[in-house]
Amino acid sequence: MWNKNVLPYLQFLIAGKKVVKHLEKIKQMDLQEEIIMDILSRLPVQSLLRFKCVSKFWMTLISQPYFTTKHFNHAKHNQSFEKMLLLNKEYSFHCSSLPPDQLFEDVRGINRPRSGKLWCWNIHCCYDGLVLVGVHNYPDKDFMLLLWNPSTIESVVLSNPKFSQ
Amino acid sequence: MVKLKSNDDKEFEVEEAAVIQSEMIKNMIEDGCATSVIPLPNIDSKTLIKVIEYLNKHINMGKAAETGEEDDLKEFDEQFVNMGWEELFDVIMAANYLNIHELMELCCQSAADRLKNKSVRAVREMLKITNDLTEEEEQEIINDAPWAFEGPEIDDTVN
Repeated sequence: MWNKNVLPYLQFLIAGKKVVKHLEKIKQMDLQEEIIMDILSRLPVQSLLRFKCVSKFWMTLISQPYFTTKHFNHAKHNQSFEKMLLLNKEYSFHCSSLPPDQLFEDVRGINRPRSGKLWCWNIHCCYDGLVLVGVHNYPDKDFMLLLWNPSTIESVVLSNPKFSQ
Repeated sequence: MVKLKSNDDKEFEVEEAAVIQSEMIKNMIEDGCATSVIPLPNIDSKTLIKVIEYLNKHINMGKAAETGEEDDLKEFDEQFVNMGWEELFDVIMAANYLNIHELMELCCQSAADRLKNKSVRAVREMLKITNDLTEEEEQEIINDAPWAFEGPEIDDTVN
């Protein structure tokens, strides 16, 4: 006959086994997540923007800053991720991947707010894959500063800075 | 010689010089924990055979540069990753567990190269992922970057 005191102990053991199994499952999933992240960090941005559509998990994974940093660090040391900015006489600017042994492909323009026609522009600086662009628009020649990510072709307008002379 | 045992109870003998490319086993040997058979509960024999094949070929990687066998090794690597998708993923998991950096690099890069131009549908099928996004959420992602979903290079085949 079971001693009454044994029962809670047995229940604890059974629960313990379940917890261990559950933990193993979580560990396995974490491992897969880490490996998937490793593989994805080697992909071009175009593929990643598309793969956000795979599932909620992939969308969250690809959008998180940790992944972006990992991807950036990988791209920084990889020649096939090099980009070239193309400057054109007609006052347009494009970004192209710079494959070492191929013709230029994958040339993309900048997505900028469509407020009037582009009149002139200049690149102020590039840092960590982002470009600071100053744009004058036609016809009123109003000026705006854009922060442009050539890889995603996204840009944001920076609030007009007022510098003291 | 070091003995490795797969999770389906098959034993394999590998030269120590080859097996120490695995950081995990190298540490075990250094700590004196590899006197008998090393059980590998996460790796089946089919995958372990592939991993050992890689370790044996890469045994003298340092020497390859001196003797001009680099091209030979490159050719072997290209042939080595020419395997089914699931098999490749098993080797990645094993390389990760055994901590074999070069093998991990090789296989993850091969997986990335295969996924690069795949369509969303093909990726879901290859990795057995169920789509849990609503149609609206999907459309929103497409609208954010429609150019990422266009182009003749996008490949809908599963392999």
